[in-house]
Amino acid sequence: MTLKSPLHEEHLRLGAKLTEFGGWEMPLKYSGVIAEHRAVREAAGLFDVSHLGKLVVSGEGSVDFLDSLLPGKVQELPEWKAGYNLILNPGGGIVDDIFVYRLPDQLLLVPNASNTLKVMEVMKDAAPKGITVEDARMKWAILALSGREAKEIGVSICPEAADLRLHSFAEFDIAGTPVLVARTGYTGEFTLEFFVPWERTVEIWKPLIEAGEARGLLPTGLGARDTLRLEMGYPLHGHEIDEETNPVEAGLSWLIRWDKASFTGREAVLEVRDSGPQRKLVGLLAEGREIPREGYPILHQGAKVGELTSGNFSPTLSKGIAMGYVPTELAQEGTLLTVEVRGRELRMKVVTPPFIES
Amino acid sequence: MPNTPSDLRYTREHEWARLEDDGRITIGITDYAQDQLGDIVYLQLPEQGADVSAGEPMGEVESTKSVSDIYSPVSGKVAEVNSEVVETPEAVNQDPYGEGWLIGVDPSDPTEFDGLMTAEEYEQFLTEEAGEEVG
Repeated sequence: MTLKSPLHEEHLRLGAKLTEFGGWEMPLKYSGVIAEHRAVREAAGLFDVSHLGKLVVSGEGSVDFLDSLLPGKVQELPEWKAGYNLILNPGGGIVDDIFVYRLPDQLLLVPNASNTLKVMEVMKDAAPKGITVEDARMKWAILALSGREAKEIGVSICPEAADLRLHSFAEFDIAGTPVLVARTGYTGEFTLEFFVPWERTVEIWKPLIEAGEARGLLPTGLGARDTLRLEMGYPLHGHEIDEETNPVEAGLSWLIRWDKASFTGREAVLEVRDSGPQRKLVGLLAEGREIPREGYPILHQGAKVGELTSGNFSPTLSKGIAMGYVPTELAQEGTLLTVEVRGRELRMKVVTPPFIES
Repeated sequence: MPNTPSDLRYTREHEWARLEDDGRITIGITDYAQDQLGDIVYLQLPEQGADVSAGEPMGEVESTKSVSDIYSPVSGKVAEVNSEVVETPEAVNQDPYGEGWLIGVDPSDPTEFDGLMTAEEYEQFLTEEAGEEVG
């Protein structure tokens, strides 16, 4: 059974084409992926990302518990701050990448939709007595307002949001509805994410759409969300990262707090760090419009050296862009590689994402 | 309901063919196909002078969503290639039966054209296919 967003009717009314994603039926696009992508880069887009997981961890010692489980910052996270983090398996593989929001009395975790139940399982198994992990998927809907005009549009319905700094969040009253507003996002543009009580979602969605109209805002779907994140080189779980990849080769070492005494997977990732990864995740840029896609082989001197993990057309560059793993010695910026596109050879250059200036 | 002009012929793979006054056959993809594909960003077309065969792949169309083969509705020699649509593939989305034409073929067997679906038959075919997607 697929789950539906509280905005399902609104999406249909707006002519959305829906797609199944992580167990949810969500908008793939409304007007078109490229138009929506450009709206976010040049004006603003409003995404319904209510499919994202929400887990609430609470109880005495929940900060210490999460800190000892996750490789990134938790203890150092001040209240009303959010941080990007991972959850690893004992072998150092990535179970999921998550955002952790620290509230005064609890922690809100936002995993990927398709991994939410798995993450909850891992948490529950590891949680000591007194700590609860609650499935809060349908407690909040999440609206992501993103783009150059996003701040002005957001502030028009929630003036206090003007002062939020990157990765900060707060609870504001928006026309009588208590909403968590966070400066977190996944597009590379200024983003406000609204965590709205599930049954009140339309009351926040509609005013945002209306306030945005004059500023070029479009409702935006998961298609544009994917091309936007790809232009930034952000990994997507199930593509760039999964239980078989480790954070060092994925270029996520920066978030690991190596000085922590323990976190799940610590020994394994330490070993990869010290011996150096065999392969690295790189960005690949084509010269023309031909599209490199997930699964296509990466070749070097005629031999297969890797596979693309994601690839698409960059609406900003009007060129093909991709990500994939290559042997460390070929991961140098500027290295020329070949991607096999259904029997043809496409020349691609190793670049360090983001693919676009941000 | 997608637009299916009555003066064209159609294939089950969602190409259209138009018989020009000089016997040449212009080929493109249908309004239904462009809508299913979404934003078209790249076209791989045969070169002028190449031979194409009815029912065989003659090129590829890529959208932000997927890649699909384009099948030639008829056999013959490629007489013209729409170089402008290669530069601006979005023309296929905007005007699939006009600016978005792909190639012109001098057919080797003019009877093949008569065997293609009429607009009415194609619309019927779409109704039966309803729900399925191209590619």
